[in-house]
Amino acid sequence: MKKVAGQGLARHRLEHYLDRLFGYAVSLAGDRETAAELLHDSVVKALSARRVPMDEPAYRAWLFRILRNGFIDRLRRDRSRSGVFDSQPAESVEAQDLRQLAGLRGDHQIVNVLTVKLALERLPVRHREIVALIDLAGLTYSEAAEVLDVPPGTVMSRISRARQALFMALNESNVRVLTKSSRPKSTGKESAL
Amino acid sequence: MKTAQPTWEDLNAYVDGELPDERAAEVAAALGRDPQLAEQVAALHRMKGSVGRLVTDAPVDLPRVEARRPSWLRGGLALAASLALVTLIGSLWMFLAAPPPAYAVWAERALTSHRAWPAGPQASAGEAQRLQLAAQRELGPAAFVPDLRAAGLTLSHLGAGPRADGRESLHLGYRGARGCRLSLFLLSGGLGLEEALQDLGSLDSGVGDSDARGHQPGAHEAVAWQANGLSVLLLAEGMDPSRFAEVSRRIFEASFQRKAFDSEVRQALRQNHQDSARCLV
Repeated sequence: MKKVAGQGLARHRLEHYLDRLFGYAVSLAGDRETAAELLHDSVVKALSARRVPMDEPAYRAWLFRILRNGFIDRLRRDRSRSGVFDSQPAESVEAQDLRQLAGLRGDHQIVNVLTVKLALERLPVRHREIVALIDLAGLTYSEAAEVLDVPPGTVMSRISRARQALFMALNESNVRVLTKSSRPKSTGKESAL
Repeated sequence: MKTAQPTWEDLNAYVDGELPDERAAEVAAALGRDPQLAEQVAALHRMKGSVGRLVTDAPVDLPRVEARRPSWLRGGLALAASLALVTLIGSLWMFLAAPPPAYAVWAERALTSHRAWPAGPQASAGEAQRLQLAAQRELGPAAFVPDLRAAGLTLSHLGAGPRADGRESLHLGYRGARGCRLSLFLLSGGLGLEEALQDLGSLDSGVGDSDARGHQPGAHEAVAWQANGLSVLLLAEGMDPSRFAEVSRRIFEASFQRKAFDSEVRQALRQNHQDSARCLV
């Protein structure tokens, strides 16, 4: 990772979060180029801010919120994507849903980095975002709540729904791979793709 | 007291370590009794771990941020104060620093080349395209030749720029419809520049306009940086500083990303062009 210019404390403090910020930016933007631009703009804003939270959890949430606001600003400029954050009807995960998820129970191989990445990319932004904040960026529910400006209980609901969707996407991916007629033959090697 | 079977939300919060101790203990007990629940929690752990491993390095071409990035180039009192300070420092530097950095010598010569570049009309679209391709061929895939038409500037000149450290640079000249001229000089290899925008201040202290920065006739703006093995110098005279700042920032970023401006950047350039004052030539 290239270091941000300068050796000041502010830059050093920010560098620690660059990779996770970038991961979050990718989850929002869906592509690395836009994510890099978002990250760049966020870095500029963070480094030029006059008031910076001293407390580390607050600082972390503040950084991610800057990036999120930058993304929302972009959405406002791009009206064709303005519905990307539209809230969805509340979903409840019933016992039946859990039985559906049980299809993954014994399959350890399906839950690997590549398949998770591919499945995550297929999720709506609202799901990708919360998964990225909790699992990729490592925020607590209360920190994520601050970034998203929602109560912590909402974060709890959102992350559970997002993971349910991610499991479903993994499950669909698995079925498709195993049944697709175009699957490479006789390679002697199995691919997650 | 909540002793019901753990819900899906409970299991997720349990995996995230977000349940209160009492509820976490109840969930743990339930996991011990129910192998299916335990498998689901194990799957959640695996998935959480896999997502955590998706963290990748921020892009290596992430533009570096300096205190003197375009923020100082934008308008307002901060700009006036900054420019005055930079001018003062630049003037002092010209007298006191010996010898000047190689890039400063190159920049001085580039300003001479810029001024020697004859005035004329904007190139036609076809001619601009031909020059663009020729410049790209000359520079190779490592370089980015910006299309600045959205900023009201058309590539209208391609020629040899001043030499530096025995190497010849390339001069790309952009013309506006109302007499604006902007020069982009590209030199293969380093010249002591940083991978950050550097304001070169006033270049020609001996010509008499070293204190004429800002939006005035004859006042020039000059920035330089190094990107992808190229030394880059951008300068213009009589251009609205806010316009120069926007154009230089976009070219600076593109020089690292090596990709054409997207529609958003083009729109920003177009808007900036509309909002900025005309060049004073």
